[in-house]
Amino acid sequence: MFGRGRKIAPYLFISPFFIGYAIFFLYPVIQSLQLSFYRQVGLNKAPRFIGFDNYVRLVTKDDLFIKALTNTTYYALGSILIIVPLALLLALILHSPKLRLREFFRFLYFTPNITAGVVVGIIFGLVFEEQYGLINNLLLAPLGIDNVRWLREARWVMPAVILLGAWKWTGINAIYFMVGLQNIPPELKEAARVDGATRWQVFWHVTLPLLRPILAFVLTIAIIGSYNLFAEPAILVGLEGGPNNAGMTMTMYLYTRGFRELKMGYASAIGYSLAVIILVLSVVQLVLIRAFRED
Amino acid sequence: MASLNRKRIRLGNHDLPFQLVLLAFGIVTFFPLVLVIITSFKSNTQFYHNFWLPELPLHFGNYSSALRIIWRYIVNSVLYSGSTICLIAMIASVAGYVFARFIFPFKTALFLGFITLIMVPGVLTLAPRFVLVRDLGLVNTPGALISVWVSGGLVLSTWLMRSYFESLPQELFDAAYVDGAAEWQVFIYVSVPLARPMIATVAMTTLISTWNDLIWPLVTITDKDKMPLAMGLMQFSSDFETDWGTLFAGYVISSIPLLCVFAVAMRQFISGLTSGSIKA
Repeated sequence: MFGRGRKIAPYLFISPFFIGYAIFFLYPVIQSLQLSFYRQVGLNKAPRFIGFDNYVRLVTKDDLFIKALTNTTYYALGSILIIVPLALLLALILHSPKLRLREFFRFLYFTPNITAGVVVGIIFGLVFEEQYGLINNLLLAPLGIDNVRWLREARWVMPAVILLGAWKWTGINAIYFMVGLQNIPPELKEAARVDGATRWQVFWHVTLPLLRPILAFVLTIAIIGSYNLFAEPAILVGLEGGPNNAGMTMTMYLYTRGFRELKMGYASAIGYSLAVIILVLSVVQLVLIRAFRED
Repeated sequence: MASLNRKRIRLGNHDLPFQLVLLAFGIVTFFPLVLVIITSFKSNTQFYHNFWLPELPLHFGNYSSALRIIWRYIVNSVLYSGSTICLIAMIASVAGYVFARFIFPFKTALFLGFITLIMVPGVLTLAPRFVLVRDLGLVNTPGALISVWVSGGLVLSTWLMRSYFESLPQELFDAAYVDGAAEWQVFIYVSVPLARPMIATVAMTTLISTWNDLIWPLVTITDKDKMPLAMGLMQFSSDFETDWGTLFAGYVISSIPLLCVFAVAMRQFISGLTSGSIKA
């Protein structure tokens, strides 16, 4: 019907997409895999093939890598166990039909998300400041709790970063959940309530199962976002991660190894480990969510 | 009917504590930002004297001295993010259209191949991307940022565009074909105008991710006067480290462009993003 042009045309039209993607995305992805099997220090030195040595060293000898992995996982757990439920709660409240100023609240909760990482880092430097900071001064002091040395003491660094994450991400996740809630026909809930279900039962047996696609989306974004965390902790506690490297994330570690010490091969190995972790976690999460549908 | 009414009223009473929770959330969310605004009007003496309450007189001069430095970074970011958005909008709508409406060998395989790579964290390719950009002679030029941002953003954008074009009813296209329109005419005069909401969403996701990207400019840009805003703010923070009022005035100014865009187009952004990616 359309002759020969029709056969080549599709490839022609997607070629800009193809080319840009292949050069600046696919090629580096492959190049990075190759580089991770080499030892390359400095940008102009010839790389030397060392097989899996980079990976072996990462897992067996590199305490800082393990530390960064632990820190990042700590943050990811915090983000999944604290930020996502909080966002869901917020969405349920925002969804209540009698709410006034819904648009205003939505915008309000969205603002942290579009604030630059540098600004967020500096603001939270003040929030967590030991003597004059907002939390110690306004929240803890009235309750008679001693000053917490948020950014100075190793065990408080990650909780501080999680609080920052909650501030930044709860709103946008709540907005995603709200869209999901809007897609649930109100008749379903009405029917359940007429049948005598409590609010909690309606939530657990009607709302939550129907939210599953959005939940999968939010969790995937949360996992990817957590393991890519860079700007906020870097500004908050510095690229070394503050006291005892307690705030060093995997991305910060990759950056310091790759661009401070110019160990490109090693940095690529870190990058691939990170990619594999994210991929595995995302798949596990999707499978788990699907499994819940079966019962 | 009576029982239904009673239920409504009970619901209403239940909602009061919820509204309070909402307000608390709102205060917690907004307070740090209010603190920035308050501080932006203070002199250093006022800042050290009273950390978190506003104090008279207001120092508007902070804003003019901050603007003198910050405007440069804002202009840069507008140029970089703007070109990225235009390129992505064009390439992704064409590619998305083709993926959605054409049938050709390896279509699904090609598409799935692209989509799975969305899981790859950007930082993974930091090192080889830098080497590539350096070999192309793009280091310390806008090209370093735009090329990588465009190719990085294309995946999600093409995905969004494709799902949107797929959701359009076939009759729309049939009508145009019957009237004798060529494929490119259908694309430009029928599909693109219809896809305007999704193009807006694509533009905004791109805007957010490029505007606030810190790590890639940090690696590729070295000249002060070429820095995009996110990185310029870092420079600005170290230049004005001890001048809190000016520093925070700069932060306020730097937040205004994105706030304006999203105040206008937020509803659009959210519905496009979720309808495109979640139903896929």
